[in-house]
Amino acid sequence: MIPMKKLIFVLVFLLGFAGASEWFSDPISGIEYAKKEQKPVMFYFHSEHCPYCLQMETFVFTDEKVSKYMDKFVVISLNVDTQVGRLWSKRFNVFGTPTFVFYDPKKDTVMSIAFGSRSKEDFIKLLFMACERSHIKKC
Amino acid sequence: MDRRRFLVLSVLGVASLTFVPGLMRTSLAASKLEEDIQKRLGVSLSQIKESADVKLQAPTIAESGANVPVSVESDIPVEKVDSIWIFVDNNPSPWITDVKLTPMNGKVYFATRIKMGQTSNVRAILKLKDGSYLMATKEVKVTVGGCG
Amino acid sequence: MAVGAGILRVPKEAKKGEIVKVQMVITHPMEPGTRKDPQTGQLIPAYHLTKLEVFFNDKTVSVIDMGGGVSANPFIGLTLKVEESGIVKISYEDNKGGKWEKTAEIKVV
Repeated sequence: MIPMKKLIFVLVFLLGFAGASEWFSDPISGIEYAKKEQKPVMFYFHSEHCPYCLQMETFVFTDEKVSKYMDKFVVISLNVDTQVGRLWSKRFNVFGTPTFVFYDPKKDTVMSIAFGSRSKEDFIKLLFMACERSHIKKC
Repeated sequence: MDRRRFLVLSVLGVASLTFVPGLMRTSLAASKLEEDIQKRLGVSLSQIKESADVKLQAPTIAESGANVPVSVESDIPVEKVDSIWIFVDNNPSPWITDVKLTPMNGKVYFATRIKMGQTSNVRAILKLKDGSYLMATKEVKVTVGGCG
Repeated sequence: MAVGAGILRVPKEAKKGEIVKVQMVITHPMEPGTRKDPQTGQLIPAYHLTKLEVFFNDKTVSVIDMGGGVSANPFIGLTLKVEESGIVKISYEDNKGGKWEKTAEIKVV
């Protein structure tokens, strides 16, 4: 007989995971969080008024299937025209937007970099490959 | 109903709410356009005929899809036309805009710029005052890219 | 430019019975409500024009319904058959209660 309290606890625990993941704008805390949660990092380098970034933000990131794959990463989103954005752009040799940098926080290594917008399907492929590279059990 | 049965049914209830919408969405996703057309025009897409009388202008290739210029024109007298509707098949919300014309417009003409999420058909549908519909379809390829 | 600012372009003069182009550009972000804010990763709430009406001498010429699928800073082009001199007026609103108007004059020569 399942104790009532335990069942309710499990239900609440599961529902808590239904929320959208938050993005980090501070790389240091984002990386720390990723280490703690044992998740790989995806840097999203963007710039204002770049229609290709807008395209990704409006039609790709909010797609349900894409969201599921994106949730496997800690997203650190940086505007390349800010100080912190410029600093990290230099570090990863980012030359344009949108650029996606997949990064292993434990090993402090870049796993892959992709420049340019892409369709939902292609973005899922990209996320899936990055996920596999980072040795997450279920991709 | 005893407590145990109630709990099991509750868990099943929550589980079905999580999984069933996902299954339903797969079958509906293919006809989001049809749903929108049915909702907005009250007719099914299959009842709307393509017509050379509807002239739809849109670029064959559009960069990024943020600003795709579209114009609709027709030589059908404006007195016979009720409205012009624009849909994008593959957008999460296919309906984009519609305009009700009056004889004061002088002719059937409407131009605007729309957002497209990916390569897709753009459709311009004329609703005539006699209750019939005419349509023109054009595929617009949306390119991928980046900013330097 | 401020949100809601509009540019309305019509010819200053027209012959009686001439069909002229009426063009407008409205400053508005036209957020569809499905875009992720790159700063926070959260959805930006829908904020877009919903309706735009065109009048000539206070008579309705056209009514446009639109949503977030129209590009930011919407451009709209229509035609008007000018039978008499008068005022073209566009009146438009967004989903957050913003309401604006803009007028321009056409003289029949």
